[in-house]
Amino acid sequence: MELILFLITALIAIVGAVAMLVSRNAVHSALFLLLNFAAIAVLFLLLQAPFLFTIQLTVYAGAIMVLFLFVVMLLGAEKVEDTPDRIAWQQPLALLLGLALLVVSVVVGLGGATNPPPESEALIQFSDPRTLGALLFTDYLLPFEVTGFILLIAVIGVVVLNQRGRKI
Amino acid sequence: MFQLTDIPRLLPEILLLVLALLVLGSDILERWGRTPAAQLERVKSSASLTAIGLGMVLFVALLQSGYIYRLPETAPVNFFTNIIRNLQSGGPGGEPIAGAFATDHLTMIARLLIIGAALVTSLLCLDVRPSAHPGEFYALIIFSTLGMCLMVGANEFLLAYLAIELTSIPLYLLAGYFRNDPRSAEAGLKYFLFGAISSAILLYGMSLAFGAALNGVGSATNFNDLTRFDRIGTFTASSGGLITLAMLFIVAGMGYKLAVVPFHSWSPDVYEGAPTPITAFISTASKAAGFILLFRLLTKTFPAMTGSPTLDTAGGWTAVLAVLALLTVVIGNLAALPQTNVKRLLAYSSIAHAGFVVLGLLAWAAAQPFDREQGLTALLYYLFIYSLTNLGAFGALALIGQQTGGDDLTHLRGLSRRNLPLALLFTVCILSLAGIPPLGGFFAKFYIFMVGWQSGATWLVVIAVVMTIVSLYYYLRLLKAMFIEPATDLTPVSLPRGIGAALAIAVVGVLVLGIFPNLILSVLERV
Amino acid sequence: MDWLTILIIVIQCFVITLAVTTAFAYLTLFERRILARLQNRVGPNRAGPAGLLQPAADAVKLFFKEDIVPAMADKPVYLLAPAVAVIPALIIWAVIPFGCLNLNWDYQACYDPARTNLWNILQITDLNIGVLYVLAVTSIGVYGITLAGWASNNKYSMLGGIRSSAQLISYELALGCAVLSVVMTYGTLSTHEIVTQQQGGLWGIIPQLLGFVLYMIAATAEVVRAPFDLVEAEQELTGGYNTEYGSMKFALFFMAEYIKLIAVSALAVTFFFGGWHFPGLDILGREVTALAGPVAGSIVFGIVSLGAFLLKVVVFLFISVWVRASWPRLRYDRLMDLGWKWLLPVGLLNLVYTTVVIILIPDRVVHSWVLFGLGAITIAIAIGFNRTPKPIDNVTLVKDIQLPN
Repeated sequence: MELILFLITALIAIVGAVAMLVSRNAVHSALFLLLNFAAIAVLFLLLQAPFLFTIQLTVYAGAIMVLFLFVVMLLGAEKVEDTPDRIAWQQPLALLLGLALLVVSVVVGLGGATNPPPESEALIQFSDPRTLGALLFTDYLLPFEVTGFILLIAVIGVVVLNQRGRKI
Repeated sequence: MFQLTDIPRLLPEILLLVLALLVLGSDILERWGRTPAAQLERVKSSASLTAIGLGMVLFVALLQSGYIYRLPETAPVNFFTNIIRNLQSGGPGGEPIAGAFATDHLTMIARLLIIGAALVTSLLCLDVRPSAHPGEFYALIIFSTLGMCLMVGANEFLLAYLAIELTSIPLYLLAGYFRNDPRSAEAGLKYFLFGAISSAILLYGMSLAFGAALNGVGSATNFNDLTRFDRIGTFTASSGGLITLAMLFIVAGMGYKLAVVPFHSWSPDVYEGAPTPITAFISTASKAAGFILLFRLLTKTFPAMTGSPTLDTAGGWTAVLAVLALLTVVIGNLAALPQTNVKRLLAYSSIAHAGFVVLGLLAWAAAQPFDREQGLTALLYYLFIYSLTNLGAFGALALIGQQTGGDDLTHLRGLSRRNLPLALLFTVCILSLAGIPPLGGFFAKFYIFMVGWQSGATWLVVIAVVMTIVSLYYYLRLLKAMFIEPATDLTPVSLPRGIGAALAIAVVGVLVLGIFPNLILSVLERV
Repeated sequence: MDWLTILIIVIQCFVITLAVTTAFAYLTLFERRILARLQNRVGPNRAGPAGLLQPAADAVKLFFKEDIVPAMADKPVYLLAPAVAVIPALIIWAVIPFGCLNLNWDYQACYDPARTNLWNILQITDLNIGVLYVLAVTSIGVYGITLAGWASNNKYSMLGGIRSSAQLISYELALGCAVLSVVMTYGTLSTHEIVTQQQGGLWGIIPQLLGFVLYMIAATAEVVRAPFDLVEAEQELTGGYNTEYGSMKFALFFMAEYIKLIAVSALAVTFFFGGWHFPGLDILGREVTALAGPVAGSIVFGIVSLGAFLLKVVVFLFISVWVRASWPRLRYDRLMDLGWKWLLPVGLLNLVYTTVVIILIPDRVVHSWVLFGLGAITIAIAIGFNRTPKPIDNVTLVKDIQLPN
């Protein structure tokens, strides 16, 4: 049962990702990416991590993709311009190298997992929001605070780059 | 677990944060300062606050490290000695803070280097006028410095990644700060895109390493500390392909940040387009921090796959680094030859220098522990000298660009007749980059080559020496333009105090550390 | 999980979906009648006794209308949008506790925080992240409207879609702040536990008065009801995002909007008004158990708690209609001002209040009333600030725009 669910979800995730890449319309791409995010969220659920499931939905599907769509719609930039690549050999080469990386990753990934994954009891305990919150404020306090500064800088950056520069 | 007693150990970082917020707030009344004179005052106040503040932070960090003055045990107890004692109790040594931030000698030394570089950069910026928002401009420099300080001490994946972001995001913004200048905007965008992709690659590598470690742990219940470098090193010692893949991704991601060939293509454009003092900062402090983080990552996370510098056994990160070093040294130097824009030329030159530093990293795989320590010392010494020199060179270029209106080779013509002291200062920096004795650049290169030779990477050293000789050609072209070619325009170029002070620091540093390297080597050897 | 449990879950989902759809139909009638009364009219009263068959008539009309897809619309997205709009409105009900009918026949298990021996048929699932689930589902609720606006290929729809995405994202933050302060007060993310902790009359509105006010404003904006219904402002956008939709597809949007309205009212009841609690409920349970055995006790308890819950929801729905009848629509820049400059800061302030007061005063009754006082003072100050007239509005008229050269 779980395996079937996993296979279906994984298939949806992959189809969403590939369709996102090949789609010629930016809004369609965004929607396929949304599909991919939703599938990833379900995968988190299958891994006994409901907290990550909701965070994935709220942050990626609910906030980031909405902003993407908003910008694409506002600029009316949904149509991809069909200018030919100036460096013709780049695309096939990139495809080839990407494919090679994919093959290597799959082979390595399949061979790499030698031990069984942790028990689901341990996983449930690990993914409990209470535990995660406690971890963030004890062991990972330093990275947590640094994240705050990064967000502050992002805000500063938006303000600085957006206001029309008054020349001095 | 974070403890209150860890706060003195993080003092320089906390001070940097406070300073950044102060500088940010110092410009909060901009609404009442829109006349040109008032705006100039705003720029000056923000810049001076930054320079003075960074100077104070550098002083605190220096005092804390205890390299210059260490309070004797027998000192009398009074107000001042208590302060110093408390400060120095947070000095080098001790377990990493919350397992995430190491405060060993390496961190202390790198912290001094980075805060020093930021101080020189802020001096360079004293006379540069960022368009609007001066407060934000200087605050971003300090935020970036904070990120680098965290980066050199990072002992854990999450902190390492976030520190890289904290370093890079302000730099993206600073590179694109002159929004109305298309070159600056291009630099900002390009830097951002490459940086984002490289972060993704790095993060992918980190998650693979985490997965490999998780696999190594098996079904243990506690996997909270599996993001620490050494824990991953322990648990992945026996696993094969997965951790190799992780290492490749991490090296590639860091390679983008360090601009080593073949991950360098963004750097000439960014260096050219960014405001020149920012170029100086990007090419020195952020590179130094990146190398130290790479060193920690490779030696602590992947100790089992070191390989050897002689490359007699295939595999290991030394093999990857050796290829990168070779490509970087050759392509960096050859590509610098035809450049006509001085900033691009110096950009390729700093790519080439990154290749030499990678050579120093290779020595860590040597069989003898002595060679390893020598390698690290040589690497740090090289980073110090390179930072000083490049800050000086780009600083001089900033002034020239500002006063002659461009930074092509033609703008350098006849500089010796327009401002002889400036030309001389610039010359010292360029000669040090080229590695002419008795300047610091010579000894740094010599030391790196020596270490490389001893640890067995002979063929690489030979190629590097040849390329050093090639590099003389383009460095001397700069000198030729300044001293021999006739000037098209003989209006004198003034040397403002801020840039003058920065150049003086750089040149004096290069001269003194070049002639008396023991001054700094005694400290560096403690690592 | 045996097949019986699965079957029961399926039946639960089915019943709830049907129930909320019917509730939607009668909510439209309810709204029209109340609005008419408030505006001194009569309202629909012809179909059936007192107009009770009006929703059925509406449904039949909508079913038999011609189904049109505009020629220049982006067809897949155009057809997808109504479904995307309805799904979040329906799945949000999964974690809302309507009442407590324990199928293990022990009404006291409803109050047990450990939830042993509890099989509550009146709540589909009690997740340990229930509140986050609610936030996640509301956050994806924006897609239906936005996509409908874009796919219709109509400038009015488009404006409606863009307005909706900006508005919903802005108010989501305030909504999140309000809900999180409730989570902080009760120290749990489970909706069932939030309800049980409100036992004894100390309902959520007392510690979270400020949170309640924020929640009501933000939730009204989140379901794009008046006075925040700029997404479908008829005077400016003809019909807004659903201009190009007709027949059942239009009905789906309509349905999504009203079901969401019911859902946020139900959540308001859950978070701030004691959920299915009612004074004397446990006495009733005890007496009936003593009188007629535990089975009858739990059934009566369950039905009464369900009734209490529904009654409270109806009160909220009435308030919503009342607001719609009373307040004019906001201007768009004022809407953004309110969201970002008032609700979000006050929401963050409320989080600070909640944290500090709960840590400083461990006693629940005392800290609840202290928080109540703080909230009331803050609301008074905020309203006072907003009452000062603003002489100049920061609006640039089109004729005054200076284009950059």
